[in-house]
Amino acid sequence: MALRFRLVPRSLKKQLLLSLLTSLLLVWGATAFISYKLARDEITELFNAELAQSARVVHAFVDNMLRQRALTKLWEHDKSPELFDTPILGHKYERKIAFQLRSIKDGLVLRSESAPEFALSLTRNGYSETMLDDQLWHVFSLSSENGDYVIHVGQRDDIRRQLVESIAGQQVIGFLSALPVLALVIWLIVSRTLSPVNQLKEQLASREAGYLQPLSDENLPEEMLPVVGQINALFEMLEQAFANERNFTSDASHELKTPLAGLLTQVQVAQKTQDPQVREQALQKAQQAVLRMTHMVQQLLTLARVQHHAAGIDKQPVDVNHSVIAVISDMDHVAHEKNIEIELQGENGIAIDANPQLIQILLRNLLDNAIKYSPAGSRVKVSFRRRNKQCWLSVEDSGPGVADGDYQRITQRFYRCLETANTVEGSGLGLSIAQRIVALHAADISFAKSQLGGLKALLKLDLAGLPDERETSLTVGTGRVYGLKKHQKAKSG
Amino acid sequence: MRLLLVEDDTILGDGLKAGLAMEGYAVDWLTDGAQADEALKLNKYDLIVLDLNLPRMDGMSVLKAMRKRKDSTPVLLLTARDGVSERVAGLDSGADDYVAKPFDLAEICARLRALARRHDGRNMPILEHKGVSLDPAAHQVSYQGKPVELSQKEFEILNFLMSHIGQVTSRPRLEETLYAWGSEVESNAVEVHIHHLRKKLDTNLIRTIRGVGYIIDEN
Repeated sequence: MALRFRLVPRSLKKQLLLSLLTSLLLVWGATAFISYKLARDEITELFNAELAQSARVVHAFVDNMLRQRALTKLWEHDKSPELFDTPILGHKYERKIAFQLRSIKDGLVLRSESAPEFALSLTRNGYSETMLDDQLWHVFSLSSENGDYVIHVGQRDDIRRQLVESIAGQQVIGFLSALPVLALVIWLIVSRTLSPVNQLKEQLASREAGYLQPLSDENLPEEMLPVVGQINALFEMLEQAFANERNFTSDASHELKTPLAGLLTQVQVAQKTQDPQVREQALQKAQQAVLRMTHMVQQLLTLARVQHHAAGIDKQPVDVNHSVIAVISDMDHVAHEKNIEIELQGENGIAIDANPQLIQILLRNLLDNAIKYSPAGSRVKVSFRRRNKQCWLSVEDSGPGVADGDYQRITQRFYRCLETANTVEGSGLGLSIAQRIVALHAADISFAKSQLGGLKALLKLDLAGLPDERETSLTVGTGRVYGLKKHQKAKSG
Repeated sequence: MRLLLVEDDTILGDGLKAGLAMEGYAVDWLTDGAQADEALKLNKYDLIVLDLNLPRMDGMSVLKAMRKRKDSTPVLLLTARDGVSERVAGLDSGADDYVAKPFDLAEICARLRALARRHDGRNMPILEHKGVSLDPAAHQVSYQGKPVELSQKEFEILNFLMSHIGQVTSRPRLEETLYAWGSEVESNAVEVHIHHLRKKLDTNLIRTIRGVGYIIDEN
């Protein structure tokens, strides 16, 4: 049953019609049944009253005849009972009533044509039911004052029932014939009421998959406005996501095409030239282009990966000190090449609630940027500390920094500062990746001017519920605050 | 021919400069739009290769500014975007042609030759005059049906004069077409090249107009 419900999509209209009609039918049926019963009882009573009434009329008549001796004459004249025939029918139910006049001494004196020859009842007065020849009779009996004779007025049960049924049945038929009309009316009302739903359905069905214009809420009932509102909000979100995706693809192709053109041109120069020195230079440049593109592709893939990361990432307590040291030792050779000193300042034993791999990518991108933009022989500073229930981690460089108006833009994809665009090799994706990872952690990143002169990136990450003591004891140092300085040897020359 | 290359990507710019220099162009390479705008105000170029995505002043603005100054130097745009809108906007802003990145060096060179040709009002790819035939694409010159060996500079001078038949060209103008910024110009270099050309071809082909310059006469 449950399976069937799942397979067949539930139609609101069908459901509404079905439940309305079923309940209508039930209530209707019960009402019809009760009123049929009531009508039957009332009609039976009416018939009984009629029997009594008829008996009294006959009684008055017979009494009168007896007083005039007419009747005595009658049955003296002929001992066989007189048939009281009614050749012309005044009413269709007229013959349904039979009567007998029985003398106590002489038996049946007078009867109607429809009455049997046997006594209709043994009761002398009042209402009774008698079985005669397999026929049930309803009889009202009335005896004369002196008790000489009895009048029975009776009605055959089958005839009475036929009448009762036909009268009460009329009512039910009335009920039943109204039902389809009512059903039609209900169907019309339901259809009309649900037409906005249909209208919405058609609006949605006629759409192309990529068409994300908001739905019109014209003529929609109040109850449906929130639904349409939500759908439109979703459309807007999707539209934005699609636009983002389109821009990403377009930006990516743009950013890859220029280095590709450079690579191709350098290779062609190398092929064409006769000068070995020019060829050597061109090949070197081609190699540079390949390295740059490799970096770009890697960053693009990382960005694509973090961008398509489902909102729920696996988080665990991550020791900040541990991660920072791992990233610094990873980037050490890059800093060494530029003779840049990396200064680390932080508290021990701070654990954040984060994904360890993503945090490493985040820190590497920030540090990579800091090293890239700092001039040779300068300083880069990484510091972190506990602040309320967060860990504040900052990466500062001695580079040219960012113009005041540009802080908002530096996390945009492929955005590269004018001043450094030519001098620093970068993909323009590092901070976009960083920002995405920050968003995945529901953390915060902000940029400001560093005291070292360059850019300061400040991360605010949530602390893990309980810092893992065992893990922190593995990290360098036991002091609460310590500094780690990496003095690089100046390049000889 | 003197050519201005504006491209901010160092590797591509370097490759293009080397590749175009091999074709005999005197290439000035700039990496930002504002510099290019200044350079165009001060110098006369025969051709311009212009990237659209430039720092400080984008390629489109550089292009519009030079067309506003009635500078009709042929411009070849470099675009990296997929959409046609940028190309349409570029052409409508006065560019003569465009190539999409990544491109083939040979294609750039062919398009530049076509631009130069159209700018000089010619359709025929080969210049012919008084028995001298010059093929800019193949870098070949023949005189009365026989191939003639010319040095790069000699070829450039002959190419320029044959593209401007009947017009006097000053010595500084010829020097401009021969030397990019930073290359050393010997004081009598042009005279030496003209002398060689006269020896290798018809002595009367190039006429000197004292104090003014050089001319190849129409008849």
